[in-house]
Amino acid sequence: MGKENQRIERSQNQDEAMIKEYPRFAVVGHPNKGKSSIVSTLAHDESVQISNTPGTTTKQRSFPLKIDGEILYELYDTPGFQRARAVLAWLNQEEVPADHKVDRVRRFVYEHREDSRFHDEIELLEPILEGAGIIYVVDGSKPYGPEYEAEMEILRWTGQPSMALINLIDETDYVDEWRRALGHYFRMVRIFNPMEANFSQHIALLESMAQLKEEWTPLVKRSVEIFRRYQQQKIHDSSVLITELITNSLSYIASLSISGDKASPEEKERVLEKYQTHLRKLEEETQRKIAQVWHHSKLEREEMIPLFGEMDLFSKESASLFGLSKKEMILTGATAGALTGSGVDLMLGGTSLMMGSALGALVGGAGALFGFGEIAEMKVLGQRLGSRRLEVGPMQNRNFPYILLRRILYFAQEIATRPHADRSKISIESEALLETRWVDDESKKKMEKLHKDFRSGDAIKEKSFLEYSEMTEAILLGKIEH
Amino acid sequence: MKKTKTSFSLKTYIDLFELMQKNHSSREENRSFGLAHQKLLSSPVALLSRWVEEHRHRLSHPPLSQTIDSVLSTATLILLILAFFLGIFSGVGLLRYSGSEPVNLLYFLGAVFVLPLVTMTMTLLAMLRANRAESMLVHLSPAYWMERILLLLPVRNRERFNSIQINPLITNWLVIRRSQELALSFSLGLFLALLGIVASRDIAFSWSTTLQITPEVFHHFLSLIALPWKEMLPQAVPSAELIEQSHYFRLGGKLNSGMIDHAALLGEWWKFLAMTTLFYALFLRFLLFLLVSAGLKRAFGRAMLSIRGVRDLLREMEEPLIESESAATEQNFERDENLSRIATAALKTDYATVIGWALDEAAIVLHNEREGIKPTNIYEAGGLHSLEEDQEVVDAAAGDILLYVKSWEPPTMDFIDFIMALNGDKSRLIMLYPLGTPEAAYQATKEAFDIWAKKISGLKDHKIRMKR
Repeated sequence: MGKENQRIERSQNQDEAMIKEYPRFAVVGHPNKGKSSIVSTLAHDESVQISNTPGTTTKQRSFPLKIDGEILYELYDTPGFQRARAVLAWLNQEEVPADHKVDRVRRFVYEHREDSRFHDEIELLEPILEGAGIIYVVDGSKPYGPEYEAEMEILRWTGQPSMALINLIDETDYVDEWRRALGHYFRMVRIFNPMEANFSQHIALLESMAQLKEEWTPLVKRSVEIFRRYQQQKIHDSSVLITELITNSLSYIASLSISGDKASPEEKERVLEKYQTHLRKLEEETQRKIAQVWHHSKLEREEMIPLFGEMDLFSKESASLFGLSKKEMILTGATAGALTGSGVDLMLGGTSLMMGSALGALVGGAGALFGFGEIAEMKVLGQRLGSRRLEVGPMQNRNFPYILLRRILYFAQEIATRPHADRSKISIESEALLETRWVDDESKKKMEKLHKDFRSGDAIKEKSFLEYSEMTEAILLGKIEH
Repeated sequence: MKKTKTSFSLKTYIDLFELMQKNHSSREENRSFGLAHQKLLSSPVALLSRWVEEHRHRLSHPPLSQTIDSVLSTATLILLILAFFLGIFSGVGLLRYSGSEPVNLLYFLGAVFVLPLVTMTMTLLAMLRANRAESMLVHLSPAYWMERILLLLPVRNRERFNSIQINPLITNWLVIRRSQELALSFSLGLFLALLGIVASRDIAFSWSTTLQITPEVFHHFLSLIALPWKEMLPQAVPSAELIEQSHYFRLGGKLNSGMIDHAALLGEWWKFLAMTTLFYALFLRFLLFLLVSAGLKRAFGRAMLSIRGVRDLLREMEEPLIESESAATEQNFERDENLSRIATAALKTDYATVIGWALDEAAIVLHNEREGIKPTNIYEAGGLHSLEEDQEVVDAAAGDILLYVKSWEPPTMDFIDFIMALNGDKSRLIMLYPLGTPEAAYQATKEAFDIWAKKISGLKDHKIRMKR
């Protein structure tokens, strides 16, 4: 018995040696009460498996918040209690004074490490015994039951600072009875819905966690600052990506070498297809990058209305959306008169030939179609001199950048405000894209000027890029905070 | 840390372009690079240049930039030599002296004063419009046509070259700078031709024009030209007397006697012409060259920042790497169980034993009444009961059993232990009844039922059934 105690003591010393200086929090509870959802939302990690099937989490998994490699705090996702009463019965087999209760728990872990029956309990108790604070999760939308008491009692035996989180999985509300029960075991009880939590709620929870232990407060408070900065950084990164999309789309020129002096209808169609495909690809790529910025790469997206599909750039809805009259929009295009009123100005080899009506439906007012001979040569070094190229772009339609911007801002807003526990498909309502007054008059005026610069085909000035990026950042920030 | 040497060149630009196309460095690597070069973080272009230097080894050899740079350097050198000799020949031609007629210095003045001023003005205008994709002023420059030389590249490289889109801003500025180099070379040729001819021949300079310009007006004009060196080198400023003496009228047929008398004086013009060449064609051009070089450097910076992916790279270098995700991956644990294998049945009314799992007796009685069940025995198990008490229930349970459970609480192993003990080796039926919440009129949701069904199906015991 003496040797046995020495071994446990050694194990205890090892555990104490492992107690790290930064705060750690183990998210524990009954199976299927949303522990993984809470971790996923708090850690901004979409890789956490979330399932209705209990027992999906079989091993403790750590989620450290690191800034340039320095850990500020660490969260643990753990399996749920499976045999809490058996564990408690084992703990109660001996009379133990309060100051040695944690040793008794440690002894339980030590003795049952190889016992598969208590695999889940060992997994969840280990981080706690290594110094992690306890975040006990319950489902406040279901009635309280006495079967939870064994779990809470075991956690109390560990003596670690703890708080309870009431997760509202469904709409029914048993919060009061849960509060009454949890109040007996936990000093702090908070409500947190990981499926709907916004950034402020996330921060509020972190601030509560900071109060669990005095020594942890500065680091958790610093983490709060880091998260604020991180949020700001992600908004900034998204606005830069959005600005890149706008500048790249507006300045894009699709070109095609043509065999004769004039482009054939097939060649025109091909270059238009190339132009539209490229712009769609740019939009998709930006969506993907924004999703990556917000750690939502795996999120499924429902198809948005295609960029050149049903969206008529000259429709009444579009007109009211941007405060431009139909007449104004037609005038701003290179030409009018296409089926959809699109402005397509075709010049082939220096000969102006209006093709608006024929190509308008295809390009949807996408822009001017130019065919350059020698002069286009200037833009692409290494292009064979003297050959003729058919070019589409840059985008001349004044309405297009607003539509593109509205679409991508909407997407960014959806992504930015979506908790990581929410794995449902992103669906974009077409009505939402028709929201009015999403940009104030002054910004619109500035944007108009910058759109003109971007579509001029000239090199984009850093100052203009930054100005646009700042404007989109302000809009996005407003949307997210709203 | 190595000493920072920033390189703004076409080579760096092309290398960066190629590296960005094949860049697979991780966010961690990029941030590590940023932290290792913190001093450069405030200068993105310098940071990028350093990044290119450290990653150049990833490019295939020889790097495309080296080929292009080498072709352009050779082409530039050839053109510089050509411009130089053109300058020499032009100078010799403009200063050609037959011995019978004096050399009209206005031609030379045109080449070293008027031409530089005009081309320099055009250069300044081209600089203002250099960020335009199509700048006609740029394309007027002969230097532009050097692009043709790229056609001489071997086909293998041309394919690679075609994949590179050089920013028009750079090509414009390169042409502008190349134009200044050619103009400098040409002017140097002119200057050396002037010195050579003056040194080897005795030339009588004169000025002649069809326009009604008096020597006084001409003197005033030349004094303005010579203003920059008037104080420093007064001997290089033509005097009123010299101007009057060297006024040449073609109708006079030959050199007039006045000119011959002042032959030594007529030769003094060379100093003025040399200083005009030095100042306007060389010095001012050189200043412009420096200005253009600065513009080109800035253009390289702007163009480098506009390469696809560069902003992302810089952002990753500059921004603190904040991570909150787990390094460990989670295995997919979900099984696709066949729920149809779960035996389901309707309730009987004559169960010998009814047990409530984590339910009190009042709740059990309520559900019995609801379902019209009249059992012989009612027991509580689970919840606050001890394992020993559960065992007593197991021992006491007789006949077929109805077991109420809360459907919203998923079955734990604690429950599984109990039901296995309850079943034991007895051949009795256990009917599991997952209850819903009072709000749902005690009806279990499909989702909750399925969770229970999955777990029970795992027991593979056909005597345990579930009430649908």
